Amino acid sequence: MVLVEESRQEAGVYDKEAKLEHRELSDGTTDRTSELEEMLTGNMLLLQALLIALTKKGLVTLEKVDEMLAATNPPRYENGARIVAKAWLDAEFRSRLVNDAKTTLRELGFALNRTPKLVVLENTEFVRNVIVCTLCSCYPYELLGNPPWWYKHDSYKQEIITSPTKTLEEMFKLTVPANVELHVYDSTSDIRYMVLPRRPERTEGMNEEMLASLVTQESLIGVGDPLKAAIVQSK
Amino acid sequence: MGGFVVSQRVRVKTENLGPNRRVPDYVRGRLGVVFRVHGAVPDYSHDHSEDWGPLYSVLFGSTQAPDSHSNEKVIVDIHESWLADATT
Repeated sequence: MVLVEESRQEAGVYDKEAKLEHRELSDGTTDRTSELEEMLTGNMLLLQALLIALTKKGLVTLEKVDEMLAATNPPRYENGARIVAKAWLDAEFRSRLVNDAKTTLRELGFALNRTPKLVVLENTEFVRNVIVCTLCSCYPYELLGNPPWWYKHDSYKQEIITSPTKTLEEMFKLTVPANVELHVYDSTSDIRYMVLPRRPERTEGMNEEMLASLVTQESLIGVGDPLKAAIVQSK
Repeated sequence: MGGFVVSQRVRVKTENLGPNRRVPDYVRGRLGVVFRVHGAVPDYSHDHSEDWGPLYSVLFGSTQAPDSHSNEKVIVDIHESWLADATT
């Protein structure tokens, strides 16, 4: 190993810092990379200078900048958790959400400009809904961010369609009683789906924030249940 | 063809000339029931750039797997041009 390193060092193709062979890329990548690095450094300096000038003049505070940055953050499944918690607490909101999710959520400030139609599927005592996209990986990205890794995996796509009960049992340790109808939605076209799971027992008196903390990403896809109240309270 | 209503029996065509390919193989040629009527979905730019007509959620019974349970249903979103009436 040492010999290899030494001979590479002699040949001038060894990067001491990274302990890697230093390759000259012939396709212009090296040039483009250093060009981009130069631009980035320049922009960072410019941004710093601008921020200093703006804060010194009292036109903006650093807190305000952080706040604005946070507002541009990508969506996460916690959006869905909050919506579910609100629906558990407010029957009128829940019925509007189930009837016309897009309009209802736009009122809450979700733009959903790239979501053609959004449907919220309510789980009941007798129906459990599960979402998949067998043709690609349609998912309400704009509302919930990226799906979990297995959502895009062929094994999930195939097995949830051919034997959903078995798949939920084996992949997700979720037992569906025989008297519950399983509705597997294959999101093949313009509609994006989110599941509204059932409210767990013994959560009376919990506020929206506490309820939202029970809602998992898996429960919004329908392959899991929300956490039990005791688990969160003991945290 | 056209104007399907909830609970109507429909058969998915096995093939359909045109740009709309978004029907999974496992339902092509199969009988299903209209479960939900969506009409033409506006802002459809994600999958296609032209109007594909009214969209339906169609419910299919248990899949072909021998061990599948009767309480298992698959619901697929299919445009009208892929569906034919199968009432009789």
